[in-house]
Amino acid sequence: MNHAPFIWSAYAVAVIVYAWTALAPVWRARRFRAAWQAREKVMGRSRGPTGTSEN
Amino acid sequence: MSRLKRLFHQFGSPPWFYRFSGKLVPWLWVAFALLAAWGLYRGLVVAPADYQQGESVRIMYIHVPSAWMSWMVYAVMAGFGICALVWRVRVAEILMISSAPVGAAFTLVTLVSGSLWGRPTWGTYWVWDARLTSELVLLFLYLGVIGLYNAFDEPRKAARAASLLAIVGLVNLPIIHYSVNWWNTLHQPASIGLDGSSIHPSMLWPLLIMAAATKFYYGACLLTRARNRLLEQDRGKRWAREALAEGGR
Repeated sequence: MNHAPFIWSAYAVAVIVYAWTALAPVWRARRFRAAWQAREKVMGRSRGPTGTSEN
Repeated sequence: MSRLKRLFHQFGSPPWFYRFSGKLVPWLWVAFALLAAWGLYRGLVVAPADYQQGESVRIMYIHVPSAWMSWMVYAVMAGFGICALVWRVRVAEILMISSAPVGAAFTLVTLVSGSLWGRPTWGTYWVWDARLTSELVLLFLYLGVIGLYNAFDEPRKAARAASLLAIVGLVNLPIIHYSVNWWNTLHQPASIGLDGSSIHPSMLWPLLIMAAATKFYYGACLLTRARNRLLEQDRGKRWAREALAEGGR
């Protein structure tokens, strides 16, 4: 029996699972930072140049 | 105050933990990358094929370290759970729940790589023997901890409930470890113990190097996830706003 497909499949699964486990929190952090910055921009605009809310 | 006690208190402070872990993470990735490259080279290129298993023995260099980590991460997760329940340390709660997806990943890789090794060696992908079944139960325990945490809206309540489940699930670890001795299983008994190893050094070293690499990988993933959760939970606090303004560093 040729063992190569089993070996490469095992390593491919490991690489995919470990890469996803490592990268998912990095992507999540980027999304969170972008959302926070967008929110801060909106809040900064609504506060106006004096730093007090216009509403 | 003793040095250890002061360190414990510092560790429990979210801003200190965030800054400290931020400095540590890149070094953990570097150590992981170097060790993984060295271990894979030794395991896939230098190490010989096994006289019985043939080339499929190379799956062991990813399967065995992943299996060890699946048990170790669970024990560490339950340890953080105990800290969270007894001392109500919020950083411990976050480390507990951040461990679960990484542990689940190790368990998944253990099960899949073991199954792919089993087909050429045992002639089957899966048997319901004690070792394989108890490892599958471990995966369900990790998923249970994640699911239970996500079922609550309030993070501190969620962490307490998930910690309790993690601690109860500890009972599965000795079952996994001793399953090959207590029952007649297809899975072979441990080849490495406190009294030595039955594996030839040419195969043992890549295994040990990969085992060290996976520990650094766990450390890096755990701290990255914990930092994210801390920042998300504390986004209204001054230290978190300052960290976010600096780009999350």
